[in-house]
Amino acid sequence: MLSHPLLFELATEWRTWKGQWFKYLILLFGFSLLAVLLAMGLRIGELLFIDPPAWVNSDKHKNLYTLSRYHQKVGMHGVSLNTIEGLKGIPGIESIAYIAFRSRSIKHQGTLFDSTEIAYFSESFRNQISLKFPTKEGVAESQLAWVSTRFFEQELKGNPAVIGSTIRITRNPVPLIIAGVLPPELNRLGKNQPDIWVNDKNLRYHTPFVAPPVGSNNPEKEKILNKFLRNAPIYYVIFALEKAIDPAEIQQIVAANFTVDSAMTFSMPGSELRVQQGVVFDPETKQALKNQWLALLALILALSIILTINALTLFGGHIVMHWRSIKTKRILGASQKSFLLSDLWSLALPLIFLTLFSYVLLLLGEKTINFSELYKSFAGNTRFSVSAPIWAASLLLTFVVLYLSKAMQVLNFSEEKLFDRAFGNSKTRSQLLLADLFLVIQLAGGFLIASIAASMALSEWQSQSAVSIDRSVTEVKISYNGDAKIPNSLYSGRFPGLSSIPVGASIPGFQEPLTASIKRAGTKTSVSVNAIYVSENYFDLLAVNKVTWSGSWPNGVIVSRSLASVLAEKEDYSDLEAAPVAVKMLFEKTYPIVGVIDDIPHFGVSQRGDPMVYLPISAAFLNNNMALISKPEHAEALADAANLWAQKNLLNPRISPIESLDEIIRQTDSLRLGFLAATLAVSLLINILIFISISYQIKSRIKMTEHEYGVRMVYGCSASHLILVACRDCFLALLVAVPIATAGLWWLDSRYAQFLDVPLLRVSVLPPVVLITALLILLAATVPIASLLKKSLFGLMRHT
Amino acid sequence: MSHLITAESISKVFQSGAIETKALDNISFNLNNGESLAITGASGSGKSTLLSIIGLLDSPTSGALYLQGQLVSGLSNYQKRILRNREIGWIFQNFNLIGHLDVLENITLPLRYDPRVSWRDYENIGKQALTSVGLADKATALPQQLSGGQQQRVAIARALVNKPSLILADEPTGNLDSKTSTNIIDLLFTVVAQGATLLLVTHEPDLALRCDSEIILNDGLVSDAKPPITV
Ligand SMILES: Nc1ncnc2c1ncn2[C@@H]1O[C@H](COP(=O)(O)OP(=O)(O)OP(=O)(O)O)[C@@H](O)[C@H]1O
Ligand SMILES: [Mg+2]
Repeated sequence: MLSHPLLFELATEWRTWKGQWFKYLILLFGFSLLAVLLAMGLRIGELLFIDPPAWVNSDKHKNLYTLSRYHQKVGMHGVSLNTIEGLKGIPGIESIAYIAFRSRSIKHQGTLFDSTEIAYFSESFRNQISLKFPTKEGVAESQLAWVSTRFFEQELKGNPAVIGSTIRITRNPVPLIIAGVLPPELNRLGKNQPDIWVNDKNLRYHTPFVAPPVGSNNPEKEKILNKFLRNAPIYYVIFALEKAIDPAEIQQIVAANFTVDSAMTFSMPGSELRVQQGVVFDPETKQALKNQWLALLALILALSIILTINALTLFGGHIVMHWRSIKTKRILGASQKSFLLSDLWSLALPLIFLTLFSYVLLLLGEKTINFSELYKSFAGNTRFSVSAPIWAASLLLTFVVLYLSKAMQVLNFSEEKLFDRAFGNSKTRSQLLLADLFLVIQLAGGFLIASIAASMALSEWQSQSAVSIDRSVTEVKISYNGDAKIPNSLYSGRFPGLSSIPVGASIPGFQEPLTASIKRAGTKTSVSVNAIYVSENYFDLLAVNKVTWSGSWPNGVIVSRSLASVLAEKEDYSDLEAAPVAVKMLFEKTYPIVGVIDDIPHFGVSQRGDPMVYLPISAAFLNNNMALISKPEHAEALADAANLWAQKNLLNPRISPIESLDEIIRQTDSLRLGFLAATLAVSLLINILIFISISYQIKSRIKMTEHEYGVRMVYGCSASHLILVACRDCFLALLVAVPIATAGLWWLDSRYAQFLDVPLLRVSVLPPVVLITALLILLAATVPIASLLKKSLFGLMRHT
Repeated sequence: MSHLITAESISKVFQSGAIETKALDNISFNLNNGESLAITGASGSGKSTLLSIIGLLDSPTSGALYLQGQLVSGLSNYQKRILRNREIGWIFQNFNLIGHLDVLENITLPLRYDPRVSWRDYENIGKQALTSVGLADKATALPQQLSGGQQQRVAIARALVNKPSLILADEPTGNLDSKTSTNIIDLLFTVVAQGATLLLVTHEPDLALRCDSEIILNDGLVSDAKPPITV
């Protein structure tokens, strides 16, 4: 015998869970998951709302703001120095810093690095983000350059000797000295990944005008240069205020002070000024992360409700099965406190499980987040990790919920009730009502989540199967400097040196169509579309379905079905045949429409409805990349031939690895597919929890009324009838739960489906989900009834 | 000297819906330390009800009960619990052993609720009690593995483990054959001989005769008492 009170409680508690420990473990697993999600939710919230980006040294500045412009399609981009002037009117402004990103070629010790990204930062920028840059005595800052860790490691091979050596930026007459390597946090600022950092004085060499070195006396030139630099909308601004002010208010002040030099406006039509609190270089990612965070919070809420109910029913059922021993203990003098304490001790082992499970889940969760593209583009190089105090706090919180759900059961057994001889044989009305309410909540919750998962899966399946192209087709991309002359043989589907293989070509690649606008000749309204130049055999290689096809391709343009339905007046698009359309990219040109094809998912399956126009590749101009497609079995041969040809004919060519269209589409869809997978997993977990809880509820009800079942059996009640008796309550609860859940689904769908970009309610999934739920309930009742049938009737009858 | 138990016109009325059941009607008696009292009467006459009131599991609707001179209705739940734990030993017809605890664990339960006892002594005290009922070799058995008589002996050991001054037995032999019954009853009277007070509910006249006194209940009323005790 274990005498020590703690060990005694531990040991005897586990005996009472004999045969039930699996349920208990699942419950603990659910609670661990909850703890981890909570910890991660807290951490992401901290990242979103409290922490500045990793590359900002946090402890110094509090009231930091970012000023930029924002365009619906292009996203965030810079403002001009003129706009920055407008900031000076803000009360309490402390400091203003800015940074601009440009792509340039640089030369280092004889090696040419093509299109490296250069960050040009103002004098005050380093100060503003409180980061120490290594400097060099006696050299003006404008003659120094800093390299990012990534550039240093990947391009400069991590050779420490490069520090102190010189690099040259194209058109910059002054060579710059590499002053040092920047910390890895600065590898990425929002979407920008600068390789080289230089002082903004160097920007003067990177205008459309040729600039003389600083100090050469040419006032005319200087004037033009200054004017350009003042008006070019390329600067991202970070400014600090003494006191916090509402960003909207600042925005207004800046807009009011905003001036332009009339001769030079570069600002994009449709873009607007935007002031944001904190240092925000990538608002879309932040918004996307925020949406996911909100979804996570909803999940945490749902999970905690389901789990609490689950714990209440599990512990409630458990205590119902053991109320006699509680009664005996009370008669022998056990106090309420001793029960509460013994509950606490008995949770010691579960706490160990909870900690272990949640530790493993936390590692998995951190890995998953670090792996996600969204997080990477938000936080750059900083790894996602939850600090020990946050984890411990979440764990403690879930443990408290677990403990309270257990302790509450004992508190239910007041002295008076316990010694009442009627107790235990019947429950009070409020207890029954509560139990039924729990049943309804659980069934409604499970039904809701299962329906959402099923709806999403159904839509995904439908949109995947609606895509009729051959996804095994592979693509190889070639990028190069300057223009390429497209080999004539490609027009007829053959690549130079590969006459036996059908090869298609596009400019640019499958996933990178250009933007254009299109309108039918003679009409005014133009539609913005995506455009791509393709070879004659492109559609045949993709095996895409042709809706209408005149045969005169490639003398004209092909439009996608979704574009056709915008342009056409007739249902069958017959009015589009040979209809002239004006396609405007850099110039406007009119072509006849010579065919309509099914939508091709250039931007992923869910975006396949984006309107597309396909132009003949012979019309392409000013290209610096092209893509070649072929059947997978020819991919290798094509890549080799392309390499050979490119080295001979192109300037500084770079060839991408072979990728199948399936891989490309999947990558674009990965966020949504990941979301779907997560929803399915969560729905599965929650439904397992609910199933376990409901089956336990049914079981404990049967156990409590075993005698009644015995009497029924004595009088010849059939097994199926007994099962129905056992499910009666659950079916009634289901009857109530389904309309509630359906209403909830409808509400969620009308509110959030668009925002999440997935349908949450497809009516066709409801009947099968109801059916499966009902079958599961039957299953949950069948198992305990089956074991009841195995017992001796005599035993059942004697045991009252 | 004051009596161990003094009952003054105790009545108990059960109210379930519109139906009122008068389980006890004006019961009065005294019982001294070290005496034994048999409570007999027909089924439904209120024997268990009376015992549960004296055992502090229930309270009378009217009347006063004194235990060791203390008015029970003036006691807090806490004090009642302490009394139940230290002064009263319960023995039930259906034993009320806890199924998932072994014999020794069952027996030592009352010790666990008594802070005066160190956990290091549980095992010794428990084993002594077990030896005194002749079941030393069954310490690790589970109740289901014992015969009815053995189970009742375990229950008795449990009732005695805290050395209570009052033993309440509600038909302790009701589920047992006559030979086993005799064993059990002998055991109980050994304890009385050592100074404990016994209240015994029974149907058996022989048994009642072994007690110092007897009250006979009839529909909640004391219909007879032998030998005439102070009623
Ligand atoms: N909780 C209760 N609610 C209503 N009536 C009750 C309750 N408990 C007991 N009674 C009633 O009180 C009366 C006395 O019951 P009690 O159990 O004390 O009888 P008893 O003498 O012990 O009978 P038996 O010899 O059959 O055990 C009975 O009529 C019974 O129906
Ligand atoms: Mg009785």
